[in-house]
Amino acid sequence: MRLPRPLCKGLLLAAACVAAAGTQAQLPVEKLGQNTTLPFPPDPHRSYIVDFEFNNMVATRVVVVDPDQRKVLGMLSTGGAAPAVLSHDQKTVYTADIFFERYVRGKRTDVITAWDTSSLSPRWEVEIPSKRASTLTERYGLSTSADDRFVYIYNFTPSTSITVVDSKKQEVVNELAIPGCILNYPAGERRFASLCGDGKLQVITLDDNGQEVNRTATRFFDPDEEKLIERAVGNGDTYYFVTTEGHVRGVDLSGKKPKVLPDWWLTTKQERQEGWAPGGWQLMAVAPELNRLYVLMHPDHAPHKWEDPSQTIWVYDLKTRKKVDTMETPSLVWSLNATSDDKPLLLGTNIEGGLDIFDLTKGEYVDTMDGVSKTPTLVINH
Amino acid sequence: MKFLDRFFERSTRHVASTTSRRRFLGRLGSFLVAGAAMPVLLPVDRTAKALAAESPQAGDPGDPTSCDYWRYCSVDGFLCSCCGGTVNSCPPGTQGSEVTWVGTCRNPADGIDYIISYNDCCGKHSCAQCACTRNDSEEPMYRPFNNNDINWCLGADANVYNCTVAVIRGVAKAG
Repeated sequence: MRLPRPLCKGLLLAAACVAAAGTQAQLPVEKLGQNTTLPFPPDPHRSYIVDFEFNNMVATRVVVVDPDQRKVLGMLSTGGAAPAVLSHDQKTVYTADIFFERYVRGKRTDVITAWDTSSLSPRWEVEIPSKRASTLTERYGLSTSADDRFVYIYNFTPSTSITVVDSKKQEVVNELAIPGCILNYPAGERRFASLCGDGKLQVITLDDNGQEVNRTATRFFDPDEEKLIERAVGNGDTYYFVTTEGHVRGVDLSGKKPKVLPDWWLTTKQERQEGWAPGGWQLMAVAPELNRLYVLMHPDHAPHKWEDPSQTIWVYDLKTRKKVDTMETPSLVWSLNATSDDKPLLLGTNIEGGLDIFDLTKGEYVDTMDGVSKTPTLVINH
Repeated sequence: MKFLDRFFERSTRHVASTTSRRRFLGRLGSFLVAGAAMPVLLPVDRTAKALAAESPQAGDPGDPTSCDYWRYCSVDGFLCSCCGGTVNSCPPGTQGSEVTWVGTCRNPADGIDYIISYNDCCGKHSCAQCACTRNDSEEPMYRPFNNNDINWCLGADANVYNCTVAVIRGVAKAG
């Protein structure tokens, strides 16, 4: 839009305009900036907020932010509250989208979309079976193998299965039934685990063509005695699960068979008596360089609070399994994730759509990016 | 279906709260403890408010556009009564999914426990009115039929969630 000279003439300020033109260089003509990109490799603190958009759930998004600059960097438009995961080489964001031909009706098409992390544009996509689980988005509904060769998509129809996409061939190479089990917790280059309703952990090993070569089932917990929250957190090939009461169950998936680690409690007996227990959506995070675990905790535990937000985060040393710190935030935080660099941030999505930022070097809350999303269920980092 | 109704309900309460967030949480906790201990009892006895709102019917007390209505003891989602439907019918142009999960609620008028199915109405996007959460014993997702973090529009032509109804399916037999 350009109207400086006519505007000058039309106004009593004409003299001032002329004077200004005479003493200052005119601003140069500009071109519309196109094809802008984000730097690669991405800053280690770059964060991707998966926005479920509960008041819509058809047209959804992933918001990309720089938490250090408190700046929105861009976004991805996703379909049907798509889960999202980042590739290990930092080049790709995968989303598992559902689209309908006529927005909410007509033919359903499910796709894996491979977005470039610099251009934030789709680089390729592949159609997948129309079975992708439609749930509140969580970490292990969509994952990748350690070498990024395979993408695993969790299906729920309500039969459960995993679709395997070969990112090299850019095609679906397998669908593996996982009856009675859910999700895909990736381990190494060719293995993933699923959590089963009978208390076992099922591990499937693939070959380089995505075909199953081995399947094991290992006793992991007693579902009649405790509620083990499926929203675990991974640290390499080791996963930490927690019960609604705060009992931690870890498992090392790096070997052929899962190695169940010694269990431990987030709380002392006295703390449990006082009412302390974990709660939230993606309620745990690990900062690998600090070897620390961060958990959303409630001071007034009740069975139905297991998915409630909190303002309190307890910090654990994973080596000693001892609580080492507490962090507080003014917001009600629902989901956590930590960056994997040596000066890590903890990011927490709050229930008003903001992103709470914690400096883990100092062990304290720093700031909140208010209103960057609507209903953020998940935050993920490179 | 539950999804983020919790978010909204609690956000609203938070905004409405004139006390600190901590006290807000404390009050919320008390509410939930009561709900956990007595899942079939109403937090507020509204028997006296019988014959309210839509389809007034003796013996079915309460306001079906209110989260406190007795049949909603396990509901999670947007109430279809606020979305163009009723307590047991879907809004125009939406399709009810027969795949669902059920709860048991006590009618304060007759003291009988009824089996209620919480069917999702589907095929239009989120109604976004009257978000309501009255949790019962939800289980982790490996017990899917006791979990409401799942979109239960699975049984509809399009798995696009609009709202939830609460249909009486029978009387719960003791034992």
